[in-house]
Amino acid sequence: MKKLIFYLNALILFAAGFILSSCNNPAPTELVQDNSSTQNQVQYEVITKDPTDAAYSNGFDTTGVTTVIPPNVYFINISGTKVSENNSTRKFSFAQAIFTDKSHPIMGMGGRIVGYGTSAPGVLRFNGITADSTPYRIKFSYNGNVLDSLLGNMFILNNQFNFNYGSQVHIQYYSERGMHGNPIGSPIDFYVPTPKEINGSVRITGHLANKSLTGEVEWNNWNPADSVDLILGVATKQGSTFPLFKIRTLDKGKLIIPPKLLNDIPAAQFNKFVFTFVRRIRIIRNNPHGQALFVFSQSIHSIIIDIP
Amino acid sequence: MLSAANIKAQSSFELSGYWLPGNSSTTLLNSFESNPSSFSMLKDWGLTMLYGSDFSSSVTSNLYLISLSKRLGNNFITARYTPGYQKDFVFNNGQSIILHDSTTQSLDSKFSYKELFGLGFSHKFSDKFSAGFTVRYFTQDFNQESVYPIFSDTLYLVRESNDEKADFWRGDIGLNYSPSDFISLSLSTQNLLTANANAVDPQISQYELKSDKGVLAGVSISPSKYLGLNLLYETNRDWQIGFNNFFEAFNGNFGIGVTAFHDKYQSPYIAGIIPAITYSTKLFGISLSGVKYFSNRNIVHTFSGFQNTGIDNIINNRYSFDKAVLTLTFTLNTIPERSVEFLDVNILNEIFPILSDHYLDKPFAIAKVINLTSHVVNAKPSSKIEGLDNGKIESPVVTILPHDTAEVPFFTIIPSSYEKKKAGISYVDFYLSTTNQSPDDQSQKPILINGINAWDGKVVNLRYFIKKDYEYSMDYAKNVLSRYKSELDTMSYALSIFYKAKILFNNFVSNLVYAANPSAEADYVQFPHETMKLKGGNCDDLSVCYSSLLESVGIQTALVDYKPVNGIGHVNVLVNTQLSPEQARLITKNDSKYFIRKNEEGIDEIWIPVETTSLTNFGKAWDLGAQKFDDDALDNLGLAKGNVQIVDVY
Repeated sequence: MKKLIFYLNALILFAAGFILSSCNNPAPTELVQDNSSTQNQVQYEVITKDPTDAAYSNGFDTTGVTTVIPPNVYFINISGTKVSENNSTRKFSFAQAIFTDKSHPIMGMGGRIVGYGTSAPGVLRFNGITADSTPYRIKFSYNGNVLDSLLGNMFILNNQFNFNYGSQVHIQYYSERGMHGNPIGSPIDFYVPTPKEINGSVRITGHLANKSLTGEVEWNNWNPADSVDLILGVATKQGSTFPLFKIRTLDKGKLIIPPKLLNDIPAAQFNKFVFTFVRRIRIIRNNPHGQALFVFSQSIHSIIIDIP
Repeated sequence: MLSAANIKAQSSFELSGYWLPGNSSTTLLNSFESNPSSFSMLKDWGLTMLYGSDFSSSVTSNLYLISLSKRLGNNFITARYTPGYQKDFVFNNGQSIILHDSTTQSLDSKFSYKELFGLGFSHKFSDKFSAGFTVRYFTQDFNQESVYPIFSDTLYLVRESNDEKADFWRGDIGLNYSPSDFISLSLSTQNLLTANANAVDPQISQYELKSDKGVLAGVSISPSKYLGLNLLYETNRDWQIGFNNFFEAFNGNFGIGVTAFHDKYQSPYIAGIIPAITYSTKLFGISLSGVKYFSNRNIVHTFSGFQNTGIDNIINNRYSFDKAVLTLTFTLNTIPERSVEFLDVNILNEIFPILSDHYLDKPFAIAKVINLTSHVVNAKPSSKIEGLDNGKIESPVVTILPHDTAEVPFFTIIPSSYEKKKAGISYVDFYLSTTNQSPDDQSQKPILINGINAWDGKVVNLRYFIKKDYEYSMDYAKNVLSRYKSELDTMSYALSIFYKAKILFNNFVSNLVYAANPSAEADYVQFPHETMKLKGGNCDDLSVCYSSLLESVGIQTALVDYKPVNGIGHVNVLVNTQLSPEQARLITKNDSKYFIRKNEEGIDEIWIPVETTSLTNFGKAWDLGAQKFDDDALDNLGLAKGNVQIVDVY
C-alpha cells in the first residue's frame, strides 16, 4: 500500500507540474479585412469637441453642408442638398469657391493662425451662372469666447443653378472682370462630375430616457468601393444644430449606428437628431500657379427627426 | 455589421492519430472523437495528458488535454479537461476611430472557440458490445471592440470592449461492437443533443458553432494482434484512415501508425497526415505524434474567407497549424489483474461430516479453470464451506498452461468437533488465486451437509463411526474386561484375544434388547455410545459398536460387507484371534467356523465371523456368523464374485 500511495503522489505532483508549465493558449489566427468582406469599413470621428460651442457649427447649417474647408488651398465645393423633416423635403443647390493666399496668414488672438486671406478676383460661373463674390468669415473659439474674423471674399452661388445628379457641372473661371462685372479674356474651364443622388432613411427605435435607442440607416448604394459620410448631429429646441460625429463607411447602402453614439448624448440639451448623408466626388487639380485646387462635388441628404 | 458565417461543430479528429481501439495505452482513454462509446480496455485508473506545440509563425506550447478515467466493473467513466482544444481568430473589425491628431485607432475583435471539458460514461454489456454517452461543454467568446462616446467638457471617442458568450452543451451516444478479434465496429451520433447555456445577440449567433446532426461510423480491422487498419467516416463526408503496426520489445509494445484525413472544408483532398510512434507498458504509455498539413498554414487569411467557409472542427480546420504532440498515459491498477477464471464448478457429492479425513484425498468438488494469460500460471484453489469450515481450506496448487483450461480439485477438512445431527443446505465459496493478494476469481455453490450420523452406504466408511467413539468404547471395554482380569490372566496368552472378544460380546449383547429392521434408516448409523444408550440397532450399528469395543482394546476386526440381495445388504464382524491355523483347535474343531487370512507379515491367522445381530451369546453369534460367511462368501463364491467383501477397519 505504501508503494501505491507513493506512486499516486508522484503521479499527482507530476501532473500538477505539467499543468502549471503548460499555460499557453494555442496561437490565434489573424484575419485581414479585404474588399469582398461583408463587414463594413467604418471610421468614426468627432466633429465637435464641445457640442455647446457655436464656433464648431461652422460648416454645418440647415443645408447640411458639412465640409471642413481646407485652410490653405484653392477650394470649390458643389453640392446638391436635400433636407427632410416632418415628411417634407426641401432641395437646394449650392456652389462655393475659396481661393486662399498662403502668403497671407491671418493671425488671431495670441498669435495663432486662424486662417489665410482669401480673394475672389475675376468671374466664376457654374453651368454658365455667375457666382456672387461675398465676404468670407470664420468663427473660432478663444478663451471660451466665440470670435469671428474676416478672411477675405469668396464666390457663392446659392440655389441658383440646377445640380444635375449623376451628370456634370461646367465651371468657367475668368481671372479678370470688366467695369460692369463682365468677364474679360478666355476662361479656364473644366467639367466636374456629379455623384448619383443620395436618398437616405433613418429608423430609430427605443427611448433615450432608458438608453435603449437603436439606429439603422439605409441609403441607395452606388459604388461600394467608395465611401459615404454620415454626419450624426443634434439640434436644440431653439433650432441650433451641432454636428457630433462623422461616420465614414463604404457606399453599400446600410449601416447600424453604434447604440452608444445615440444613447449617450446629453438628453436635456437636444431634442432632434440630424442625420446627414454625404456622397462626394473629390477632384484635385493642379493649377498653373502651383497651388492645388480641391473640388468637391457632393450629394447631401439631411434627415431631421425628433429624439424618441 | 457581421454577416452569416458557415461554421461547423466539432467532429472527429485525434491529435494522436487514430489507433486500433484498445490495443495500445496510447489509445486515448478519453477519446470522445474516435471512440464514441468512450469504452476502454483500462482495468482501473487512467490518466492521460496531451501536450504539444503549434507551429504558427511562432511556436506556442500548450496542454491540449488532461483526463482521468476509472473503470468500475463493467462501467467506465472519463472526465477530461481540454484547455488546448481552442481556436482563436483575431481581426480588425473594419472600424476605426479618427483621433483629433488625425491618427487612426482601429477597433479589433477576437472570436474564441473552446471545448472546455467533457464527461463520458460507457457500459460493457458483453465482451463484444459496449455502449455509452458523452457530454461536452463548449464555450464561445465573441469579443468585439466598439466605439464609445464620452460627453464631458469635450467630446471624444474611446474603444469599448463588448463580450458575448454563447456556451453550449453537446451530448452524443455511441456504441462499439467487436464480433471477433478481426473486426471492430463503432457508431455514434454527432450533435445528437445540444443545449445553449445562454442566449446571444442575433448579430453574434450567426458565428456560433453550428450543431448540424450527423453520424460517425468506424471500422477497425486487425488481421493479427500486431496490425490494425482503421477507417472513420462521417455523414458530412469527412473521413480518416489509419494504419497501425505493433511489435513487442523491451517488455512493452512499440507501435507505429499513420493516419490520413480528408476534410471537405480543407484542401488538398487529403488535407494532412498524422504520423505517430508509441511505446507502452502495463503502467504507462508514451506517444509522439505530429499533424502535418499539406497546405501552407502560415499565409494571410481573409475575414471574408472565414465568413464563407468557417471551420468544422476546433482543433482541425483550414486555419490549424502543424503540430507536434506528446501523449502520456498512466495506468494505475489497484485491482489485481485476473490471471485465472472459473469456467464451471461441479459439486461431486454431498458432505458427510463423519467421513472426516476422507475429504483430504478425495475432492468434494471439481472446477474447470482457464488461464487468461499468455504465461504459465500456478492456480491456488481454496474453499470455505459455510457452517463447517472456520476458514479457507487450501487445496493443492494446479499449474495451467497459457490460455489453457484445467480441472482443479477442491479438498476439505471436517473439524473433529463437528457434532450437528441435522442435515442442512449450506453453500461453498470457491476461490482461485495466483498471488498472495486477493483472489483472481471466486464462485459460490450450494451444498448439502448431512448430520454427523449420516452414512453414504459404503461399508468401508463405517470405520469412521468405529473410530469416532473410540474413547467411549475403550472405557467400556476396559471396564468389562477388568471384571474378568483373573480369568484372562490365568489362561493361555494365545487364547486371550478370543476370550476377550467373547467376554465383550456377551456383555455387549446383554445390554441390548432389540435388533432393528436392517432396511430401516439405511443411511443413518449410530455411534457405539448411542447404540448402548438406545439398547439396540441394526446390523450396521451393532457391527460398528462391537468392532469399536474390540478395536479399542487392540483386537483387530474387519467388517464383512454382504452386498445387497433383493435390496437388502448386511454387515457383520470378523475378529482376528491371532491364533495360527495349528492353534484353531483350541477354540473349535469345526474348521468351517473360522477363516484364515494372512497378516502384513504373510503369517496365517484365524479370523472368526460374528453375527452381531444375534443378541443371544457369543457362541450362537459365532455360529450364525460362520454359517452366513460359509454360505455367502465361500460356498456361493461371494468373495470371488465380489458379492461379499471383507473391509479391514484399519
